[in-house]
Amino acid sequence: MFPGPIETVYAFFSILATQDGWYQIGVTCYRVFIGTLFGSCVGALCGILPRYSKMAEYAVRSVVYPLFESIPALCWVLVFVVWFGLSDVTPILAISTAVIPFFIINIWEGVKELDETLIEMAHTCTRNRLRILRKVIMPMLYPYAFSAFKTSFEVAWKVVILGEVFGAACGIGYMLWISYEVYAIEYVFAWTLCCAIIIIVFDYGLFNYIDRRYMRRWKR
Amino acid sequence: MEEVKGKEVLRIEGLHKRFGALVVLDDVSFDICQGEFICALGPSGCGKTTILRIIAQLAYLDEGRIFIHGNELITDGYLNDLSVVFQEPRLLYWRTVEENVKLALELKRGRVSDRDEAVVSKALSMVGLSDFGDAFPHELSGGMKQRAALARALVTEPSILLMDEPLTGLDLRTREDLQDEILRIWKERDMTAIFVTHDPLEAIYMADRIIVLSDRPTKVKEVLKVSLNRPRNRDDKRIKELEKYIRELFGYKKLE
Repeated sequence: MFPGPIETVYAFFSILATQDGWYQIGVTCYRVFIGTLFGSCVGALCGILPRYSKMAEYAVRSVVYPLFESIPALCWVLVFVVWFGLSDVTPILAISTAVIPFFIINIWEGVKELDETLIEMAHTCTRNRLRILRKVIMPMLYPYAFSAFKTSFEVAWKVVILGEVFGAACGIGYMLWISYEVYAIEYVFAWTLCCAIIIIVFDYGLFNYIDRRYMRRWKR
Repeated sequence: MEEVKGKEVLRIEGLHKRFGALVVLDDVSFDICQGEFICALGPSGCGKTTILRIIAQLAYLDEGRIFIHGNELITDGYLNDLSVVFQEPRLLYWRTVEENVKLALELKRGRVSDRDEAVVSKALSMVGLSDFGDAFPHELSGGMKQRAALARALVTEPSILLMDEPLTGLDLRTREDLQDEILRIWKERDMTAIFVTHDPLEAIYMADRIIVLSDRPTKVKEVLKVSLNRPRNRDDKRIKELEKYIRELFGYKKLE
């Protein structure tokens, strides 16, 4: 028999009532955060390097991007379990590999759209390419990075659950799996509810807030 | 009237520039003295902008030598002394006017201190934008955008100011206002200015000397000294005469 909404809500609040429940949620959030951050750095680097080197463009276009884009998340998870065992590293790297292509695509797109006249203007002020990158080029890429973050966040939540089912000993995904194993279906539903609420809060709350508060400057 | 000018600031010798088979600059030479206002005048599409870009090190020369303050410019070194105003304002759209002006300092020095706030607001007030520091570029008119670009060029206190048709595309009234404004600032700051334009009248009104350039491949056709007292009067007969002379030089139809 399936548990009804009352059992589910009861299970949901019993998760929130325990310190352990919050710990599991916290662990998963932490993995999403670190995994997305790491993936964004690698992806952004791969997106921006082609601007500076033909070699890098070739490497990213024909090796790096297809590698991350074509291999399913579950395959990565299994590979990482073999390499790193049940640990934080497995879900974190699984997230990173999943979000990297979004950052590569978005940042690359942004790099192609860069306003070269502004960069040229900056070249009349300084020889320091790093300053031009920080003050002129990177800000022009912020909207692209922001939209990559938005997409990545949703993907990261899907992947982290998968990663935790197979490759971790704690976290929401692990709890989902354990609940299923012992056939506590109301807890499966309750953990699912947790995921949904967190995603909604971040997506509609945080990202909308950042969009309204900070990204307005970039809309001409 | 001969004006007493200081020593040579910039000397250009035998400048050649090709884009593939296209010869853009063919043996262009001239020199500029301290505190001079030089206009490079030529038809659209000739290499006048290219000359400016080479001086600003945005383009490379194929042959020729450039001397700044008597030192030969090889590839590096004097950007601190030089600012460029482009034909388009080229303001960063995510920054306010004030932040745009500050950008020049940030790029040049890497870091700005609180003391620079005063320098920035001085530059803004110099171009008459004191009240618009918090505005974004898209909120400004074309003339005001160009004023902001001018402030950004001035904030680093350059001794050489390069201007590449900065007033093209503005309406007549704004143009004339900005011409006067640029002349006033040039005088106040005691800068050396190179102003590229295709408008003979503008060149005559502004310049100490006009370097008249030919169509492609660009050569120096004539260096014209404008010995009219400042401030000049736009309705001055001698300006009209000079304009006629320049038009004939270019082979334009004679003015009635």
